[in-house]
Amino acid sequence: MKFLKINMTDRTIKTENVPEQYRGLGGRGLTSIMINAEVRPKCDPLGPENMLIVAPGFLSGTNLVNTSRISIGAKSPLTGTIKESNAGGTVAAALGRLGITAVIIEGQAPEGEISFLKIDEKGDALLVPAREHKGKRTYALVEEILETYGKKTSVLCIGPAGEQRLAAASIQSSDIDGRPCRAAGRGGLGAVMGAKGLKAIIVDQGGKTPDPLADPEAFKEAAKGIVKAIKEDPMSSHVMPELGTAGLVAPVNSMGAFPSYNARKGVLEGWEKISGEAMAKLIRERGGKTTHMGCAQCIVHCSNEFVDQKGEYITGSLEYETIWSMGGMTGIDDLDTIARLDHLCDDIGVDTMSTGVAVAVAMDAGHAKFGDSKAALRMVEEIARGTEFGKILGNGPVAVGKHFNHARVPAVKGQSIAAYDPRAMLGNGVTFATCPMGADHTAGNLVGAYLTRQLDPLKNEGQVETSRNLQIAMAAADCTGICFMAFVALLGPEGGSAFLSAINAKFGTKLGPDDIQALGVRVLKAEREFNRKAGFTNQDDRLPRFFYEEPLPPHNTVFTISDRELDTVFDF
Amino acid sequence: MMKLRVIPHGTLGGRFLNLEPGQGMKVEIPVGGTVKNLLAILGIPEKVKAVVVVEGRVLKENDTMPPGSSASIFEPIHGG
Repeated sequence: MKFLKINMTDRTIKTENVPEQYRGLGGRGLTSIMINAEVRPKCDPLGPENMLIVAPGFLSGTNLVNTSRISIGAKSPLTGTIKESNAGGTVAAALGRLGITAVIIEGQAPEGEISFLKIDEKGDALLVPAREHKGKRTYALVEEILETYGKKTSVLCIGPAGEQRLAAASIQSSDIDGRPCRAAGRGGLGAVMGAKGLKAIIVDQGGKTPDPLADPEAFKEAAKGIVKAIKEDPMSSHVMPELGTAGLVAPVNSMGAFPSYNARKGVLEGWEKISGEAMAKLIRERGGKTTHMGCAQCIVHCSNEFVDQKGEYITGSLEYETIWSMGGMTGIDDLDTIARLDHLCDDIGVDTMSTGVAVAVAMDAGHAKFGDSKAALRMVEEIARGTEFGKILGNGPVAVGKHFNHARVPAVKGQSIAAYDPRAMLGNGVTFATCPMGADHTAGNLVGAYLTRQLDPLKNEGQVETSRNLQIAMAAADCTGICFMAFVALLGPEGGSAFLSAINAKFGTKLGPDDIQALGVRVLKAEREFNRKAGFTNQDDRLPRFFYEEPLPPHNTVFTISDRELDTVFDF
Repeated sequence: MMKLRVIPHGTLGGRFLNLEPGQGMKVEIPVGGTVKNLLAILGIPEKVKAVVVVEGRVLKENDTMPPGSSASIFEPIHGG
């Protein structure tokens, strides 16, 4: 249980025990509660007052499966709100095995100075000058890092977009094969890392000093129960390994809720060409991997490796949200182009979702035609080249909308929506509007509730309550390091009980379900409090006007949840 | 009997030989047949909890299948 505090201004490094007020926290809970307590809400997100906090979940570093989500938090340069973005890969497990609760980056390096932060197998840290790596793209950078520091190394890094401090810059996380293809993409945290003067955080995977378990035997039993639940759950055990998250393309289009052509339609013409099954078939034919272990200790294997016609790697884990942003929103129905755009974004270090939507807004404003693959690739390349338009694009869809004086920008608090149109899935609109971090599907996604017929996506009834409950549940889940694909399997009574037992065995507590809910509420309250102090009000918890006014085909419905109802989401 | 077009997606597509992704097939069920009847005729076990969508609406298991409709079917999936 220790904090590693790095001050980039004076290059000092301190290790300290986790203060009492942060004990028992991990992941998003730790990043959000600490930022609310210690970062001045009105500070410049790209200045020395902001903190960048890297926190594994509190179960990361144990031998429990699927617990390698890393939470990264800061005040966001994209939204101006508090932000947590989490990613898979291997770094959360590596930090957890070192007993590191969080790496806290403070201050700011002098202009032009850039460093690596290297953490060795004993947990000792060192800032290494990295001027020769300035401007490097992430794939080449990580290859060199692994050559220098060894293959058993986890990397968090930024690309040119982060160095340019662009508001949609991501922090890329290396996967099990050492590729920087996982992303803490949302909220522009790559720009915060770039502003600090940090190019990469490099963590030795050989740590052997995880925090002790309060009850190792009970933990072992609980871990077995969790594995059993995951293996028995249809989605975790065979839908995800076969199709990955791309399996959502067919259901969401079939329901008319796949925002297409910059959210002008709810169905993409030709979506069958970019569906999960079409992707799996293409990958199989070319000799790629339809299922793949991307993250440490994963037993779900939702990842894939998309290859070209020669069988050569293009990108790792082509996922639903990227297929949507780079495909549905831009009208591009070609998986090869979408895969290249995905790779390009990972390599440059920008969020695929914000970038795809930014390209779509530019197309909608007449800058290029929908479906123009070459134009999309050219636009995204401009980000790496640092052209004036590239900078605008890399600052996200709101910046593009301002540039073209184009009002149809599907974003809330500066961050683009995800792959569920609020007019055809009302509850997802509630989440997008009210999430403290801007529109964010991971905060509380109702698509599963719709597909399991718990709720009608087109009727107001139950949307606010379901969004609220999911936002609370996800705020708590994001503290643990568990991946969502495994978490779904733990929503049943047996899996849920095993998960609670694992938490209690870790801490020596007797927490019940109400305590977990209370943790989620505590996290959301901290996030809302920070935002209020930063100047946000309920008026910011609103969708763009066109969602209320412009009917979405094929249902031809608009968003009908009232402002009054939205204001009750966090009525606790 | 009434005719329907059924398009199995995702993991359900593999249950039907020679179907390309997204390709539909003709199915006949009794007039007034429900979602449950359709899935039984297709040989999809109840435990799969298959989702049936017609004209963008997710149907419940006791809903009547509209004659001549085109139905998309798939396994439930969550998104995060």
